[in-house]
Formats: sequence, C-alpha cells, structure tokens
Amino acid sequence: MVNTPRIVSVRQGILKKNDELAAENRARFAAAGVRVINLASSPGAGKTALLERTLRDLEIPMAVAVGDLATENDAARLRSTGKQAVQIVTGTVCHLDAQMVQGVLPRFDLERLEVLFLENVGNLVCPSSYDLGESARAVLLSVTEGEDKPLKYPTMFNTADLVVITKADLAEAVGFDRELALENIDRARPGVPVVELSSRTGTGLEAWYRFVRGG
Amino acid sequence: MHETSIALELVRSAGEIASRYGACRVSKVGVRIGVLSSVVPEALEFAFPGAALGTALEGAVLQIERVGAVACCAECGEVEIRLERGLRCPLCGRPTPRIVQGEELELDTLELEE
Repeated sequence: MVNTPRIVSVRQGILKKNDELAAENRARFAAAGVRVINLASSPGAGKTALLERTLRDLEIPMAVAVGDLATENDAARLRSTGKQAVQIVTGTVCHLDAQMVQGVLPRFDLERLEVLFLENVGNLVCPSSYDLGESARAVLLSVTEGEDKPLKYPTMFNTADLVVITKADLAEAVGFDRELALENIDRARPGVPVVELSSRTGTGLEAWYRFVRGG
Repeated sequence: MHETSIALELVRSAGEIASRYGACRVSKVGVRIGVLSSVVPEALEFAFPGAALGTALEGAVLQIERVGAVACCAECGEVEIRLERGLRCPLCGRPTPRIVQGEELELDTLELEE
C-alpha cells in the first residue's frame, strides 16, 4: 500500500518559540519594573564604550548582559565601572536570542534594577530577527562607518526605537556627511528619533540618558 | 548569517508538528521568506539539508516562496517598495513607515507521510 502524503497548512512564524520565550522575558521585566534596552550595531561601533560611560555617569541601578562569540573582555570592561555585567558567550552564534537571555536572568536581581542593558553581538543582520523581550531597541551607527549603512541593513534599522550616531567627535576628521546619514536613517525607519553623541567627550549624552530612563 | 539557526529551528518546529499529526516523515516543507526578514533564501537552502539530518525531515524538499516588500503610502495606498531606496513610496516619494508585507519568516505548509 502506498501512503498518500498529507498536506497540512501551518502558517506560523519559524521563530515562534523564540517569540514565546521573549514574551515570557517581557512579562518578567514588566513584573520587576525594569526597563530593558537591546543595543545592536556592527562590531566596533562603540556599544561597550557607550555603556561604560553610561554605567559610570548615571546614578541609577543598572546592569548589563553582553553577548560575544568569544571572550569575557567586554564584561570585564563593563565590570570595571563597579556595576554588574554578565557575559553571554554565544560560541558560533551571531546574535542573542530570547533563550540565552532567559538563561542569565537568574543572575540578576531584577527587582532592584531600574535598567538592564542587553548588549547584542556586533552584527547588523542577524540580531534583527530575534526579539529578546526588550522594552526598546537602540541601534548604533558610528561616524566612521559610512552614511549608507541604514540602507544596506534595512531590517536592523527599521526595527529600531532609537538610532544613536556614535563617535561624533570624529565626524569632521572622517568627513562624515551628517545630512546624508540622517536622510538615510529616516528612509530606513521614517520618523525614528536620532541621538548624536560622543562617549569620549560626552557631547549629546543627555539625550541618550533621557532615552535610557525611558523619558 | 543566522540561516543555520533558522534552519535548525525550522526542523525542530516542523518535526514537532509532524509528530503531533502522527507522521513519521516530512517529505516537503513550504516556507515564506520576506525580503525584509534578513534571511537569505539561498543560505537557508544550503543550511537546511544538514539541519535535517537524522530527523523526520531528512531528505525533505524545502520550497521557499519569496515575498516582496509592500508598504502603505498615505497618498497612493499599498505600494511595492524598493529596499535600496528605504521606506519611501516609489510613486510620490512620501515616507511609508507601515510595512504590510515582506517581513515574513513563516513555516507555511508541511507534506507528511505516515
């Protein structure tokens, strides 16, 4: 007897399980009253530098979970500020997912935190597919990267709640075309707020801190 | 390049659904991939057979339907957008922040064998 194949219609997201875990994370964060910010950018855009500065400057309870393929270097840098930082080593995986985040949550006292940063793996493609349960997503673009990044990586930028232009102190030296960058950001994500700052000089940090606090 | 992660998750969830239907083997998997999903169909095709090894999906045909990007323009209605120009109406140039199609990353159909 030959079995006739059956066709079943499924119509569900391939990342349904990640989305369910992200929803669990989001509920936990809401219950604890903690604002969770997912930071994404290409490698070297200045995520860790911005967080180091933020952890030193802002006097509110904050902590970081930071993802990298290898090494604990970023967590060590962030811990030097005196705040808690937990490294998530992803191995060969190029993004954080909701399960990895859930795995480190027991190490944080969420009830005592006001802000938890999830520093994603440096990558402008893959992290865009994975909801972590964050309250907001900030995408960083450094002035040394080229003004057309938002058009080259539309899916990362069009999921951003805030775009942060970093290394503003280098803008002149590298001939950064600010107007063009702002135009391209708006093309990728019409209406998205943009903050321009330098973690080194401190320019523009006030607007970033308002976003961190959820204001 | 997270298509391997996507392929593994596809195999896991399709296998779960197949066993719910009492099927031993999946012979075909239909997925819908939007151009705004940040998944490259060719890379998924490449990753899929390896991800399926040793599972109910081993040897299954992966059928990918590519879904174009459509956004909503306040003036022109639903318009197909071109990624390199960003979220702008190709007809009138207005921003089109609302995407109505193109972000799909969906498991659509399964062909099951008893």
